[in-house]
Amino acid sequence: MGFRAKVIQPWEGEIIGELLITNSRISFLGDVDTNTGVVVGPDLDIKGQNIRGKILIFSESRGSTVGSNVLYSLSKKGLAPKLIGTRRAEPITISGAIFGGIPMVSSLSEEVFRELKNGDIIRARIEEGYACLEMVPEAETI
Amino acid sequence: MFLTKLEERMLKGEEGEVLARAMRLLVTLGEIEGAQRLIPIRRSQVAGVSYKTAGEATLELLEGLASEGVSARTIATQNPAGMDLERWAKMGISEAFAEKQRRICSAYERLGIKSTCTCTPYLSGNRPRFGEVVGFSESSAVAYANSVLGARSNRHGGLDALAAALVGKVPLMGYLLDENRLGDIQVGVDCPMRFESDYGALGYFVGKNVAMDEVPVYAGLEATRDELKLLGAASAASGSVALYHVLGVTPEARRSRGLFKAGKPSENLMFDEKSRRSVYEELSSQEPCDLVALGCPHSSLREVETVARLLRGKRVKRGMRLWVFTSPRVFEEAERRGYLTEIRVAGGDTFRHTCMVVTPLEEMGVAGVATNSAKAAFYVPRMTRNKCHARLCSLRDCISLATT
Repeated sequence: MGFRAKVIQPWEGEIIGELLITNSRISFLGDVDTNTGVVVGPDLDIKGQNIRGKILIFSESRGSTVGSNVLYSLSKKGLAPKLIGTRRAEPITISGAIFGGIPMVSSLSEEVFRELKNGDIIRARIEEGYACLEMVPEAETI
Repeated sequence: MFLTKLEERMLKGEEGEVLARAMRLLVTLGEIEGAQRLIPIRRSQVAGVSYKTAGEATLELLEGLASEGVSARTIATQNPAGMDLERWAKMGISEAFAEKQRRICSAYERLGIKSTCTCTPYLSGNRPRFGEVVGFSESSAVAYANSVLGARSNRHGGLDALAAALVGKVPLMGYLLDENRLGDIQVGVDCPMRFESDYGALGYFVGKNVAMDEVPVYAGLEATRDELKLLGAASAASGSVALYHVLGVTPEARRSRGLFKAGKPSENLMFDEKSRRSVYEELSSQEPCDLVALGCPHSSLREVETVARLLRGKRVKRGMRLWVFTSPRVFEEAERRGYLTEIRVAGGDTFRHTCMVVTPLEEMGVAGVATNSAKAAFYVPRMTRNKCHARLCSLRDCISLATT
């Protein structure tokens, strides 16, 4: 089954990647180590995981407005996620994704946070102007 | 989105590639939020200045933009840098860091964005009026401008605030619109607010408990502007509060009538002794501190005066540092009035252009920071990858920790 979302920064074709998901709020300044991409925010349940090359889904952004510059910087260093998804997006995250060329979706439903878990393999594509995220069965990924 | 002829020209690149890129970003942001058009602004505050936080990528981006000969169309000021632009060596900053930092500030200068380098532009020559629409980044300045001054700004990221400064416009959306400025959640306070740091603790608690776009309304709270500065900064750190009201105190909440979106609060939140204590616990390490850092957000003149007064007859302990951070304008006035001399005589120091959050503390041999700012206590361990811990305590406790 798929989850529909709003396209913020579009991409071509399919994106397939491993999911890193949290229902918490993230500040790219401070919660992510800009030298490695590792999540360091001590109160986050995904602490210690790396966002690099993942499909990163989080609830909302918090904190610093420098988050946009940090996201851009992560992208320049090759440490950005493959795709960012949020429940609701602020300009902070959106402009970082746009400047960094990081595919991004928003308006994710509650179901996404209930049904998907870390390590799931997710496929994302754009259909008729909407993003569609779905789990890839393990058999297909081998 | 409706665009004027000039805006169309900009978007098409007829006014140059930089403005086209800036315009594309603003139009995209606007379209995502359903903005009808862009609206002119006269003031900007641009974050993403410290080399520590903005990094090499921002430096390269800015130098590229600056070489294109474009300039801000607004009164635009820079956020704090990673060091005092003049007395950086005194802070223990390396020459290599200083060189990068100077390049960032100078690129912003060439883009017409002034190196006043403060997070309190409203106390340093870039103060919006009531009702004025501005394009601010710096989460604490957005909260202050919206809530305490009654100006109107969205929580712009450093990059979109820069784009807005160059174009001189922002998308008409979010907190610029009357209907989004009304309250959602009512916050009651059921514990004594004895210290200024309690206001940061309150803000921190509220930031965590309200969602994006929700406007908290504090009821039964007395607060000075300096206390609101701490409160707003904290709720914009633990959460994303861009606007709050304090009933009977802040300019858009003189009366309670018509204050809530739904006619009444959608939820009631209570800050009690237990919640107060849990914030202090969360934001306080028990490890020893070797730096007392005050001024997050940058100290007002009154706050600098208070520090100077509390330091009278005291002396900063050996092995301990006491630093006050402030804006260039407050620095100058505090120097003139002799407050900075009093702080120096006691063994403390005052720096401009920077603060404990954005300076590279971990490279400066600082192991632990005591501060009266919940925002700073939240960021210091995060910004130093836990190489430097933090402790939230009142100004009075900070001073007694630092001095004999």
